[in-house]
Amino acid sequence: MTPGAMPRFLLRRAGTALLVMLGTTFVTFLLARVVPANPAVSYLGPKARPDEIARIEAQLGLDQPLPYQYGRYLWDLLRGDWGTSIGTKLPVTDEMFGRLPATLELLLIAMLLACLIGVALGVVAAARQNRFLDHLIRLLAIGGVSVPAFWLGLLLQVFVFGGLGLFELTGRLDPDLEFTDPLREITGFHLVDALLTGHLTALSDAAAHLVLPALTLAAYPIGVIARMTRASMLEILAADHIRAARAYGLRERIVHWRIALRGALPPTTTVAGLTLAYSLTGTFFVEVVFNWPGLGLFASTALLNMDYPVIMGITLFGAAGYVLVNLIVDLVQARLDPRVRLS
Amino acid sequence: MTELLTVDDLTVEFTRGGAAVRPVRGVSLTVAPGEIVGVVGETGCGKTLTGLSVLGLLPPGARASGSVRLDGREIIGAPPSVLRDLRGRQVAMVFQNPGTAFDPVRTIGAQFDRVIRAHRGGSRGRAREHAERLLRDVELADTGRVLRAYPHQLSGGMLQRAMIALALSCDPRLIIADEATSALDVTVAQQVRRLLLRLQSERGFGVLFVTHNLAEAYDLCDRVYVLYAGQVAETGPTAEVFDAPAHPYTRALLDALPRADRAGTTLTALPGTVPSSVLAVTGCVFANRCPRAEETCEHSPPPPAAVTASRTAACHFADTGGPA
Repeated sequence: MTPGAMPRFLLRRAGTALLVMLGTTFVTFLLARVVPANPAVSYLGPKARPDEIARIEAQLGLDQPLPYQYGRYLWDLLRGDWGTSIGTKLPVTDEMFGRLPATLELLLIAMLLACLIGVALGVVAAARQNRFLDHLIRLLAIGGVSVPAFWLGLLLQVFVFGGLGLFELTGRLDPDLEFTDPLREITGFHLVDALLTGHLTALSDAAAHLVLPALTLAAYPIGVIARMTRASMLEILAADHIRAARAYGLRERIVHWRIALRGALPPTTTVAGLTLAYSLTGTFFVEVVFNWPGLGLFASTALLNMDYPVIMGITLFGAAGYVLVNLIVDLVQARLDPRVRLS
Repeated sequence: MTELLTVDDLTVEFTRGGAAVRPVRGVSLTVAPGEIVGVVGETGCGKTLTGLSVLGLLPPGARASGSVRLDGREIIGAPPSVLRDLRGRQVAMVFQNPGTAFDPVRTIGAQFDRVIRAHRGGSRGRAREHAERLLRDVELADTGRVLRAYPHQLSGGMLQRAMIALALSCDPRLIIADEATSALDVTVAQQVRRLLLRLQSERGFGVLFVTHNLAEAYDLCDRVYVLYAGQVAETGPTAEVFDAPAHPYTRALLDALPRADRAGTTLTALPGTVPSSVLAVTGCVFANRCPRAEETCEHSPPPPAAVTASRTAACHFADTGGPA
């Protein structure tokens, strides 16, 4: 193992990530200019006069040639000026960062659930290959992948909340709490804030609000992760080194959980990362269904109102998230698999 | 009974597509302590499955019948705890492909540590010292580097040496080498053979050497078993069997080898193929390819018959004398 291997690997991946981001800015820029709706008109409203439109166009730089506009767009992005929301007239960055913790909290809890449940289901299915439990788990996995999030969310609301009276229906916290005993925001993650301030009522209330949307969001990753874990476990259990491990008298428990599962982790991590990135889109639906005050809900509203600075900002933000997650996955992958790290 | 390993009438059966397949049919063999015994034959003759049976490591779906006794203890039908205890400690295996027989995501050191401590317990430090001793014993010089390396960072020859060291880690009395040199370059293979011979003479373990390479078997083995279609065709001391083969199949195998003293002549290939369903054959399984087959061969299977005091051949017309 050469000492410089890891930083070089990191640099290479980071370079690729930057290129992807640059490509994304190009796409978001083009999309906003291609959409057949004049931003100046949506800014002014339907009854705008032509001279007003021209003035706003000049103010937004829309009368300049496209390459110039793109250059300015990039420069503004770098300066941290991501534009102003047409709907709220507030800076896009402020709007997004204010809503980010809510989405991240939901997403992280959903992924935690997905990894734990998905890997466990996959290992069990592989150990019981072609038996009843395996068939059941595979059916569940296919269900999780195919059921649309908005429908699953409604089902959970109707049956778990409506039928069983469990957990909470919408939102992040009980609105009454705001008046009786407000939660002090430190990180914006309600679970963390409640723990930090020792606010146990808020902790259980925030958790109860999280369960249904997190499960809804986790359904797809659970399906994907369970199937991937099962497939790689089966592949590894048939490999030479598993037979060798048995030939040297190692216990089945060690063969399964230490050797086979350890070998199945790299591919499972990859798909977990990919589905996490995919679930960023899933939050759009889930947040609308559960009225979760995060980026997804904000983005849906922006889409309906043709609030193009917000749409561009969210798209870019989502892409950055995607790239970041993939970068992290690559790094984790390199930790887990020496063949990736050293090649 | 002084034998280290006694395989008696071993049959391995699978069910494939509703039909029974028997890749090993009534194989009997013995290995004495400190003896190197070869099992030779072409691909599919059942030699690898015979080796795996000794470890109780048959692939899922395979059923073994007959008897495999290691140091007097029956392996067929033994509970997992007994098998686990024997594996590594009494009998260890050296696999054909060292590149895939190690766990690709762990260092060699971690894999030695796991096996050594599973059997002997003790601290990581003790296990590491033991591993270093073993690696020096298989002539791997830079033991620290080898232990820190991942399998893909070492050459095939180094890995096979490491595998032999791992096999020896708990002082087994029997080593099963399954095509242990087949994946290596010829020069490296020769070094590994020499290494195995030296270790064997120093430590005195028995070896069941499974190979398709006749020259290798000739070089290493005290006795050989020639397998054909899951049965023992011929057995005896290596030199005798190879110098004066009694079974037509052994003779055909030897005739197919290129030889320096027959340079320029065309190699003899054995015509025909192994019967696709050996279970349907009522007579001798080799009859359809045998140059000496007569009518009896079609109807009655030849039992193993003594050729000399130390040799048997399963042939109605076994060659009992005369120069090769």
